[in-house]
Amino acid sequence: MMSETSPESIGTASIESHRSYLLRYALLQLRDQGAAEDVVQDTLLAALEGATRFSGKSSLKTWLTGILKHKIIDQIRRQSREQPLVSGDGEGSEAEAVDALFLEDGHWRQPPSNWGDPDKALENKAFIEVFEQCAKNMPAKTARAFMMREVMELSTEEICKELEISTTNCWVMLHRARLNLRECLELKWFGKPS
Amino acid sequence: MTLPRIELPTPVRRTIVKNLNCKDVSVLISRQHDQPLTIGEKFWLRLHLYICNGCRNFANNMQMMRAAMKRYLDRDK
Repeated sequence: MMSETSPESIGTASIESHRSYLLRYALLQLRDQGAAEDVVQDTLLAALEGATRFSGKSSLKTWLTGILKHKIIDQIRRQSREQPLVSGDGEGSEAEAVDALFLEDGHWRQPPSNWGDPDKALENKAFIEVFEQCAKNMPAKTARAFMMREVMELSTEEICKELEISTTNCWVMLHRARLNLRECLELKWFGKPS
Repeated sequence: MTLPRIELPTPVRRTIVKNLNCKDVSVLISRQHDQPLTIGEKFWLRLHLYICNGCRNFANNMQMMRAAMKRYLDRDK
């Protein structure tokens, strides 16, 4: 029985067509153009060499993303060996940034606003650009955990293991990351007088 | 009506007599995106969301952020 996408049908062109997606993915996680281009290049090469292993059960994009994930995790391990993000670096100011959002009694200082119809913003190219800008401006450590969760879709267990942190610490980081990103979007997009 | 016996999350245990405050709730809403909450946590969360506009907006904002991430990655170039 012939599968619809037989291995023979995967050529350079179809694999290449996913390059920009893979690059966006890698760049969000690694935050370094050179490193992101390297892992994507490695992924595309590995895919071409291993094209016969592509079963066609998943989409080509999913298969490529799976390869990329492994390459990114290797890269993160290498990065944290070579230039570890100093523990405690900016930690105090990040905790302060969260505290600043709430009053003493835990109420919102400035309650989050209603962002309206999600589809309307999501269809707007300018919004997605602001989103990109905000995502790229997140503090390095929290961003790394957040992207592992939201881009690579790793479980918190996997993230803790990879970053060698406790589950509680992981949740704290993800919470901070989300507050940070939300705050940025609120200020740069939804806070704008329309 | 009696409530089911539930294991209360730390922030709830801390403020057992009061409702959860917004900061505690933002923690729960965030964690909800990473793993299922316990029955107790869900209960207190829903109770709070019922009365708190800001936190309801926060919960919606979080969902939208997740959708925006997907949209960003998948946008055609």
